[in-house]
Amino acid sequence: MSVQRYRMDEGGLIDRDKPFSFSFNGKILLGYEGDTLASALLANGQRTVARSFKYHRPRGIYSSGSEEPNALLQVGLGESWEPNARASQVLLEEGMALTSQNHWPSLRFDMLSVNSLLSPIMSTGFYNKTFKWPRRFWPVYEAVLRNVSGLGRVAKSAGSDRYEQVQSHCDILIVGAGPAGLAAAITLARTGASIMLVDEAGRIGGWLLRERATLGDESGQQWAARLRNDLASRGNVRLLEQTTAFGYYDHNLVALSERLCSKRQTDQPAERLWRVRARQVILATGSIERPLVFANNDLPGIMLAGAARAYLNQFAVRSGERAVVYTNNDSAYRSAADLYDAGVRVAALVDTRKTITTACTEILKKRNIPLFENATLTASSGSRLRSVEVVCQGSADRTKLDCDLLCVSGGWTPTLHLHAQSGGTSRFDADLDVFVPGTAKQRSLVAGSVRGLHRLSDCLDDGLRAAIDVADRLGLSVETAKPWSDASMDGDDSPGEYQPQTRTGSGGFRSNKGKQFVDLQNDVTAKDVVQAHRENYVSVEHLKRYTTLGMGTDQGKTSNLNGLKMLARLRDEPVPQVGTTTFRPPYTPVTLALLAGRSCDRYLAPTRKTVMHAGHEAMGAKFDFNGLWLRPQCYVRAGESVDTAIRREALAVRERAGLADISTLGKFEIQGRDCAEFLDRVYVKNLSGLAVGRARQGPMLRDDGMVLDDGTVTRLEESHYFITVSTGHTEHVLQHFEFLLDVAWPDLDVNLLSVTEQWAGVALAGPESREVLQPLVCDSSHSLSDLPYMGYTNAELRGRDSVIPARIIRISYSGELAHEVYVPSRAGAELWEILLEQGGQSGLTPYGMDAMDVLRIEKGFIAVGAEADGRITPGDLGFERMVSKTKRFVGWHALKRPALNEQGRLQVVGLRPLSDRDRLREGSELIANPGDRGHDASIGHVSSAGYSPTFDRSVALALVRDGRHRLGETIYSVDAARGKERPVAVEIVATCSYDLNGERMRA
Amino acid sequence: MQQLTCPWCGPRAQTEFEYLRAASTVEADFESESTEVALKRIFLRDDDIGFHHEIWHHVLGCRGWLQVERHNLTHEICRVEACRRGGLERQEETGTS
Repeated sequence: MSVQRYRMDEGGLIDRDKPFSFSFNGKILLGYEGDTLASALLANGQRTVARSFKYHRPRGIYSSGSEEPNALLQVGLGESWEPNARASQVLLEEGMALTSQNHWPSLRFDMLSVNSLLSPIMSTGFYNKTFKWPRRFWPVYEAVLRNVSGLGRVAKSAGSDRYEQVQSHCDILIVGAGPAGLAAAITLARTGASIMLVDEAGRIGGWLLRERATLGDESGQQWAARLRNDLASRGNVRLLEQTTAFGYYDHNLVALSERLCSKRQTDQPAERLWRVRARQVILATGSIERPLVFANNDLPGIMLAGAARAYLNQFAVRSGERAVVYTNNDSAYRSAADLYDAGVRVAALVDTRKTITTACTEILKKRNIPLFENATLTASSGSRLRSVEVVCQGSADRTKLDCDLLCVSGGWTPTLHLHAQSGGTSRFDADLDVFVPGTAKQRSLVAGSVRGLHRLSDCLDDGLRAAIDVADRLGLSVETAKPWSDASMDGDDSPGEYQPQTRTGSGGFRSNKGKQFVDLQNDVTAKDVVQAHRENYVSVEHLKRYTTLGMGTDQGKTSNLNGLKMLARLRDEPVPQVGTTTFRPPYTPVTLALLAGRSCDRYLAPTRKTVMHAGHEAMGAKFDFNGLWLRPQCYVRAGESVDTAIRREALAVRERAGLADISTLGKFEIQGRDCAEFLDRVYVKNLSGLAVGRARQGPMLRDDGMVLDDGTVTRLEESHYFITVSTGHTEHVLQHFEFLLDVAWPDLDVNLLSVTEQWAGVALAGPESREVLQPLVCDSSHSLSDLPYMGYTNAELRGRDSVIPARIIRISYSGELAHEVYVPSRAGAELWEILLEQGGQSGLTPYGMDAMDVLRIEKGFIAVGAEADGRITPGDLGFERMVSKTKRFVGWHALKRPALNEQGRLQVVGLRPLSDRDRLREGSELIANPGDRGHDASIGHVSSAGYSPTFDRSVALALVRDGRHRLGETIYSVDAARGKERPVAVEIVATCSYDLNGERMRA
Repeated sequence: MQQLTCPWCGPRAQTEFEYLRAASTVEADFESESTEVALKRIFLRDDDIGFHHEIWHHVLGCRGWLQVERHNLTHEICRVEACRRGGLERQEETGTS
């Protein structure tokens, strides 16, 4: 176990009494509770932690927050791990196994760094330009490229972690718990309003934890801790640490991802997704430090100046032994001071500006740190930082400074993401040289350094202002006294003159001294931006997509503004003219598991089972889903294959009797004076003429004339009807009916009730099926043979202990003599059992959906979803004669459109393979000639197909262009989607191929 | 995710509702509407930026029908009412005038 060489003996917000051991690439290291992965790695002197995306250059920890472009690690080993974890954000836990990414075979020696040598030819657009030709080679290129590109590897298994989702509400959501957020939170907390305060870091306080700030007689860290405890003790405040507000959506909905890993109990989830609807939102999202662009600015040892302060002050880690600070603004002077005071030798501070305030120079003077004014620098090349070369403008002298830490600061970019996602505007502040928030679109406001404020006291004041604003909006009364006194930080007293400058260093963009990275994560250099501009990618959106600047897991948090400023300069236009790319959620990557939450596997959707389910299971049913319903596909007997089972079941219905569970059908009842009128308006058939005790079957249409569903209407009494619809369309039809009755025709006196759950049903079909049912009818004078085809009767059936009321409709979907028997759901299971007992001797066979399908295809009956697929009119189905000429109905107007009556429409026909050995499959394309290829060659498709035991060959229904005029023609079926390219010759035949006159059905 | 205030149930998340159609697509008079008017109503609508009258179904709530006045660009909702009350307000659109 190694010593933490770079850890200081005192200070920091780490618990030295709670050491954690962890491993990095197998090496055992030590850290403390309170560490991030990054601070622990730095404490152990682990400078290089990753290889870069494209050139595989060694990279170190660059930042101290979620903006980290370089230090993406794999956390966890074995089957389940998390790739691309930002080392600067993830909290250290005992026993964590960390692995670096993006190299082969090892972090120290990466073969793929040869890419770096090839960089002269691997310029922007290299892949797009190179691997395009010849086109058929793309699969070869792709296999290689996929292997060497990409960021991290996805775990092989889902792991055991649980992810949860929470819906929540609050009066005020405050995003960001830095100075502004805390000032707002404590002020508003005293009003009693419900408040949520969230921060993506592991601890409330933001930069107060990372700076040596003073608030009255407390340090910034003490003040933040005191406020944290105060807020946590209040019942109306919910504090969420390690929680990122990653998306701001419509109507003040903010999505948060909370990571519980380090603190959780065993029964807690790994992450929690919060959907928070807030009455008001305060965005105190802060700002992110920008890099400076110079040669070799990506070496391990180079980091943002603020990050160096953060590791020092919050984690008691010196990021190096000999430092140089390079800046174009005042804030980095604090890095020089803090590092010096912590015992790091500071070789120099290099400032690109000509004029520097005395406040800043005083900081250096006190510590004897040399200052280079109006100067730039470049880093020496190598695998890590060893020295820099400083050049003062207008002088040829170069000063070489040895150092192992270079702290850079190119200014601070307001974190506009959430404000922009909410629809808020931004404007360019020329003095600050950054975009700042403009007007809000939703009920939100911004506070603190996101507005471009950088003095601690200004940020605190602004938090208070935001609190007062929000209180006013919500009608709360608030104390306006400051909850702190005279706050200050070193070098924070004067804003200083900011010099807008992104790229520095001599030699221009084409300097041979080394690569000048704009985007570290995507390895986009200044040269790439120049080239993209030269090739006319002059829009920021094009620049992003062509060079990949601003893509990846960090979405350009550190690089975007530098890139677009560079583009602005190349275009010779002001920055606002060039604009920004769109800020889209998520702010930081969100795991897919979190978005899925508990909605996985069997929790994805509820499963509906019919009341006869246990009966099916007992008989060896194989189930399949239809919508949410589990339905028996077939009942497999011992030693039987699925195909044999389906054949046996279908033959049983044709020859003797079969029993099927049809409880899943959608069932409705309507009552009222205007039922007949309603049905006439809904169905294409005339239904007002339907007599009591009779049923009628037919389609209903949508407004656009297409078939919505095909179902049965039974008139139970004068003004009482029973309607059944397709299983899969029940909800849709219910909504259709409700809409028509409630919105379109509220004047109709019709009461609609959904009774799908209230009635269970079976279809009893086959030449001997009546003999099975008859003995169960209590009143023996009630003879079923008197019931005509499409007739209805109610009856009482002999149950085991009591009579079962039943509705019997003589209707057939199989083409055989058949009855549908509906009983109250409580008696459904019993009905199934007593029918099977009764039918035992006559060979009553339960049959599933597959056999039912074969039977109806033989008979030419259409199924909604298969034949009526939403683009099909009654005419296409051959139902012209059903369509009433004497009344209006939904879809009536649309059916008159010429296009629905022209030639060339798909029509339903039957198909018969010329060779009985050929199998037809649903979804196959149909072509006129065996050699036809391409999309235009299709003249239709097979909509339903099955194997008919009656004919001992495939039977199919198909939608064929002008099909009914092509009866007898031979066409070809190609099942290309299943890889069966051989055309199968089929003859177009009539839809019905069994019992053409319906004598068996009406027997 | 948007939020609609159902007159019966109060403010609820969009996931409880289903947008069904533009109010202008509902016929004014089933018996006497001409086919020309009907086809325009069904198929031809302006898609201008601004507030639109929409019909929403509180399908996973009270199953009430709501008439919603909503801005199709900003998603601002300025009115939600039950459909039955006082009949349906149809936006005057060029197609149906």
